[in-house]
Amino acid sequence: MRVLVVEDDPLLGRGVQAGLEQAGFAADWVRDGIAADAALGAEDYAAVVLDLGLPRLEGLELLRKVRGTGDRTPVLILSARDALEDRVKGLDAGADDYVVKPFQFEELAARLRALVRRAHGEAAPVLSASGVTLDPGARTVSWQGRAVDLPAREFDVLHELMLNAGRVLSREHLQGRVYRWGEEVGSNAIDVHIHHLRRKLAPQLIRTIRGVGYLIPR
Amino acid sequence: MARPSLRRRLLALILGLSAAAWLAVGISAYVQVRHEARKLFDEHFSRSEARHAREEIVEALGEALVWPLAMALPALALAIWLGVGSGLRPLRALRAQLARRGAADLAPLDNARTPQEIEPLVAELNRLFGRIDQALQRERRLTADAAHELRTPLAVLSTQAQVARRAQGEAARDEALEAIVAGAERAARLIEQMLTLARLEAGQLGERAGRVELHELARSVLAEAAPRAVEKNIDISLEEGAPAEIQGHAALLSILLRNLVDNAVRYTPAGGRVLVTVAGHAGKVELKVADNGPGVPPAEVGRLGERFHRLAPPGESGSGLGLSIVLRIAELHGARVRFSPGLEHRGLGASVEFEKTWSVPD
Repeated sequence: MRVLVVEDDPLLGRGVQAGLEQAGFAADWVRDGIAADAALGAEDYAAVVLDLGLPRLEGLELLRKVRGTGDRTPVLILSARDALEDRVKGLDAGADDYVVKPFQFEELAARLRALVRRAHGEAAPVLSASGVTLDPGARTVSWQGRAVDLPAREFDVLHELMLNAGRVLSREHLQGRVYRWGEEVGSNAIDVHIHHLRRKLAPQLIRTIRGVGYLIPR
Repeated sequence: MARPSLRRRLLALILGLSAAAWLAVGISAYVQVRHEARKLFDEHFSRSEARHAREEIVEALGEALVWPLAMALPALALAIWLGVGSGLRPLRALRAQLARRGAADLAPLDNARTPQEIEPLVAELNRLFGRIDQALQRERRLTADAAHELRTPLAVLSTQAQVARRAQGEAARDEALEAIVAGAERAARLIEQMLTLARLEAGQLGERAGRVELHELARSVLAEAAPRAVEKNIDISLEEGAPAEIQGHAALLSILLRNLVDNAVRYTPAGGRVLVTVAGHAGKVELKVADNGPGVPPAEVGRLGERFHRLAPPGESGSGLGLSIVLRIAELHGARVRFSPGLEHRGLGASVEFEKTWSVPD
């Protein structure tokens, strides 16, 4: 799952990015509101982790601006401001969740997963479709009751397809949701992942819609 | 010892005066009547008869004068007691208003029905409440700010420690550990600065004021700051000049200059220049730190010195308190701090202007 981290403090931003990567997210990190705005315009993130005291464009202003354009990306505010007033203001400005620093990565990751789940209209934490079950928290997959071990990026591709079960996803969309900036990506990386997934799970699980993309039926 | 009572004092005063007035009227009436009676009786009666009748009349007169007084005094006392008591009722109401208050309630007292004699006292109390309220709010803001500011370095430590614990490779773990060390140093610096500011606010100045030669002070501060500047390839120097002595606290002035120099070194990019000058003219001494860094946008100059307000330079993070401390120390020395463009018409110049005649409080 690809997320955007907006944090001006260099030590903290680097740490949040590294911690989220360890938790299985693909995290991009920007250091001010203007850069965050540009990133949100250019990429399709599953969620945003937003600090409030940002240079150039303040966190809340950015949030209002982004919500003003109709962007529905889930936003989690991660701030050192713990006053009731700040939390209320943040949520009312369009944030979906609010976590106060310092925080635990287990909780941050779980909240992000919950936000993404809700954004896709899902209530159950474990996804299942056509005999495959996928647990985003434990990062485990099973096929007809049998556990299957998947590398991180293959898991991410499957996760994205299952979150959007019944919808066709383009190769570009999948690539944008799975890889962060600066990662080496081959031009057919997604095709390779799909090929492996079919081999490890079932050949008929993921359908190819020629010229459009891939789909897992509901 | 019993406290003097307003009520008892008024009672004694009014009763005493009334009794004295009554007594004076009574005695004068008595003397006059006795004199008239003697003249009247001596003309018409025999000597012994006259004496007898006269004594009877005078006796009756005496009783007529004394009895009402004896009866009226307690009634008067009661009336005074109750009257003064009701006159003091607004004070009791005020007392009740105050007694009901919690420690945080600093709203003005209601003085709509306060008698004019007490109103100035209540107004003064209300002004005092206002001042205390402002001071409390200032403290509360500082505490809230401090809590917020301390949370960020703590978040760095906690975040990077969690990353280090789960790091897969040696390099990733080392990077996280280095970040923890840097974060701990930053937290220590922040706490140091917060303590300095708190001590300054509380007026704990440490040593006594004395003569301070600013060149000498600048030399030692620069010697301390130079290694960091050199590491960043910044040309840092002190301009030589005539000795400039002022009255002041050497340790505090060192902190002031160190903060200005630290800021200049921190905000000036590699290859830049930082120049410190000390110049005396016309009863004043100017201490100036100028750099050729990015400077401060005009709109931001007014906010310089606000607590925890920092202009985030890429890759650097200060406590946001350095300039607050500078301003406070300057204030204690009666000095003015001004910001202007720095070297070569760019960067930032911070100058502190001391009056030579200013005497610093101990």
